[in-house]
Amino acid sequence: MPFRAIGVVVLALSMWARAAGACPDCESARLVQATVFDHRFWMNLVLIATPLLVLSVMCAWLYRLGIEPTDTGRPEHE
Amino acid sequence: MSERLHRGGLIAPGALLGIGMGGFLDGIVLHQILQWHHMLSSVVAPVDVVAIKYNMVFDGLFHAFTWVITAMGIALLWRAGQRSNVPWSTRTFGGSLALGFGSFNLVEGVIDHHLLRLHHVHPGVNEFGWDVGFLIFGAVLVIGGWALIWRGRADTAPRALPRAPQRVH
Repeated sequence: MPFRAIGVVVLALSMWARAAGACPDCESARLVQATVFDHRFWMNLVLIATPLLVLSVMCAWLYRLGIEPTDTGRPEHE
Repeated sequence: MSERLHRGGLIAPGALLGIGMGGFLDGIVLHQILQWHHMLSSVVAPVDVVAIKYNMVFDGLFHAFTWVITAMGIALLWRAGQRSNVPWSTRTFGGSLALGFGSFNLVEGVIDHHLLRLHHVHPGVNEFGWDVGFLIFGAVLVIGGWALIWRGRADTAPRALPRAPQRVH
């Protein structure tokens, strides 16, 4: 029985979300989709990703470099 | 023969998480709550519903990239906690967070605000001042973060214990 109740709740929520969600086929939605996925889309994506790519490279460098390694004086087990 | 400390094993995840914190703070506070700018608001000015939704898509993609950076930071931090040669230092980790946060401001500020001109921090008559302030804030965090990391060199204790040697039959 609890499973049936959960199913009903999920179904109701999905119907509500469908009704409350952004209109997928209205004029403004079609216009937004056409504007976003025009010939500039991939260029825009690259522009947005560029700073984060630069920062990722910096983190890779930090991982390899760290601060200069020091001697712990402990025996190596591996 | 002795085991060498690998501080980068904690600095890198701290910096990645700091970048994530900086990116999400920018997105949540400046894009959504204050709505000072969006990712491409100097390219397509958010003056009507279509333009705002256009910017929302690219804000979302920016958040998605930031999420990936954050997830990488969590994965590397988990790995660092399991290694016996990574010093588990609060100063190193806190400094790395600040370093990452400040680096986000510096790199994103220089590339997006000044070079590509995709958006400005607070568009208007004083936009240059806001953009420079954003960079100065980032530089202060980078310097402070690096100073903390430097002081954390004194911390050597790892979180994980060295692995016991395996018995050979």
